[in-house]
Amino acid sequence: MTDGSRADAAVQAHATVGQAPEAAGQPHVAPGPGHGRVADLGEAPAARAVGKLLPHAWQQDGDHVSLLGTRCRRCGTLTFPPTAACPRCWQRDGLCEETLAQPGTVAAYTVVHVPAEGIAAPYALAYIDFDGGVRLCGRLDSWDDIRVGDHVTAVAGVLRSQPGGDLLGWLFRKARR
Amino acid sequence: MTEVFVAGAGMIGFGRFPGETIESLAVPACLDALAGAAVTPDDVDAVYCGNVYGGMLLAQRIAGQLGLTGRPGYNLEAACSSSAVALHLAVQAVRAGQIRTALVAGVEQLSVFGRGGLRLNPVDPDIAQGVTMPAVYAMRAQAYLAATGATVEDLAAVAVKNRGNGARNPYAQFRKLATIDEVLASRPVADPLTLLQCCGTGDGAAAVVVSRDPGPAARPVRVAASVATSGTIGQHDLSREPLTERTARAAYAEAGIGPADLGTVELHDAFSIAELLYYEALGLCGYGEAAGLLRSGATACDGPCPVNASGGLLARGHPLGATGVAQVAEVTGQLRGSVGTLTRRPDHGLTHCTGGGITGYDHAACTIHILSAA
Repeated sequence: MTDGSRADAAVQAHATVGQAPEAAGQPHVAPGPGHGRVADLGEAPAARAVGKLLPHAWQQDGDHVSLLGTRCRRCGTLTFPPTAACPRCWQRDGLCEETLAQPGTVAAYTVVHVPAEGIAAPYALAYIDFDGGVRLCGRLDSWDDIRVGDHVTAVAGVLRSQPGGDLLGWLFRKARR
Repeated sequence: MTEVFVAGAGMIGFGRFPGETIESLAVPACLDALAGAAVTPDDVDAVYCGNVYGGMLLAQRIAGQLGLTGRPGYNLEAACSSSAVALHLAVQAVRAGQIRTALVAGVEQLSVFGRGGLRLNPVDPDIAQGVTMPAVYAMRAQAYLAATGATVEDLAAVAVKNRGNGARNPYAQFRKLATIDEVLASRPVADPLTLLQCCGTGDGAAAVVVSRDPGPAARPVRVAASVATSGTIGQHDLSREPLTERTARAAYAEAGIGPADLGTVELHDAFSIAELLYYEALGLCGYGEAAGLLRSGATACDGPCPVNASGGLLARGHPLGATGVAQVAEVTGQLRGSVGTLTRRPDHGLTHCTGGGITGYDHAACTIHILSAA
């Protein structure tokens, strides 16, 4: 890899951090989801869709998204996304696909005002805990009445709009009681 | 075990220098460290460099401008912990007798990427979903405030203290005082963190010479502990910092001292909440007691254990690869009595930096050094 390619990769990356006082310029706000609620797939500019986040790790059934992990038959460790080897006991055979049990539970969340590129601010990020010890970081599709400890389920949605098209994946929505 | 000394230290004032090159930032800091150690090119057995975004073979590029070619050059990346990891490996090599003297540089030039923030790995699943570093710390802040009863004013008080310290540090990038109200009224970044509670992006360089020889300084500074480790993946309590706790326990054991012995600490205050979490993880106080410790003045420049007397990452600035060695250069100066921000000269100081920003980990890489005036 040359210096140039590494620098290019860094320039093309997509996150915003540690804003200096003078760094609070115009955030990159792409056309996309509205305030406080992310558009469903049906409302998104689906014709532009080009990418899926971790396509091997989720399945969409209507609105609902199943999140697919792997369970090690030897030591029982649950991993998300699916892995080729158990990170605990290094077993390579005998890993079986397992759907994460939903709902998950909100462990913490924040509303982001200085966004990552390609995402309209504000948006909400959360840590979601699942049975089996898996913790995922994900976006909430609405956060008006979200509290830590709430149950959430995964729904399909557009994660970000970028020059090449949209990135499709899952968002978390408060589970109906 | 072989003693290792910080024989010389140097750094440049941090800021935004898009017209410089990464080598031109690093060389003055290196020359100051080499001059401080009173070594010649033949004395330097190896060059270690911590950096994130500067491209390949940076240790060799810097060595080429210092006449330090023809010997090992090591390039280390561990996000914000990069140059602290470089220092750790240099210390290990000196202790093991593999080398006698090493130059360790930390350097970063973020201004060349424009005004936006830090670039994280776009193919990381969490980053793809919109994770930013402020968001990661904001979630910790939410958990900590809920668990302990600390308030947003307590968070802001960290920024007020460190920005006040930075105002007196000629090497600091941000030298403006701020009030609690100004901090809380600054632009929201990720709730509850506002702009003045977040470190800025900028450029900087720092260097130290570590050696079996103490160097010419009247008050030699010894590396009493050097510990680097990594985080874990799972559902840990977000209101605590288990990675720093583990690293600190190992560092205190290695140094044979405890937190009560420390007279200065430079810790990883990339965001206001971090300082409160790390007070507790470093054992400066118990769980839930950080806001009280801050309010007591104990961590102010005239307190018994000043924390981030330099202004920390919030005010000195946080050019990622430069930070770890800059902290060590700062504490070395404090122990020698050559840095002006402290009211009394400490005997022991601790530096701590921790790097994250990848999926799954609580935090990914943590490094702690304890320095003692021998």
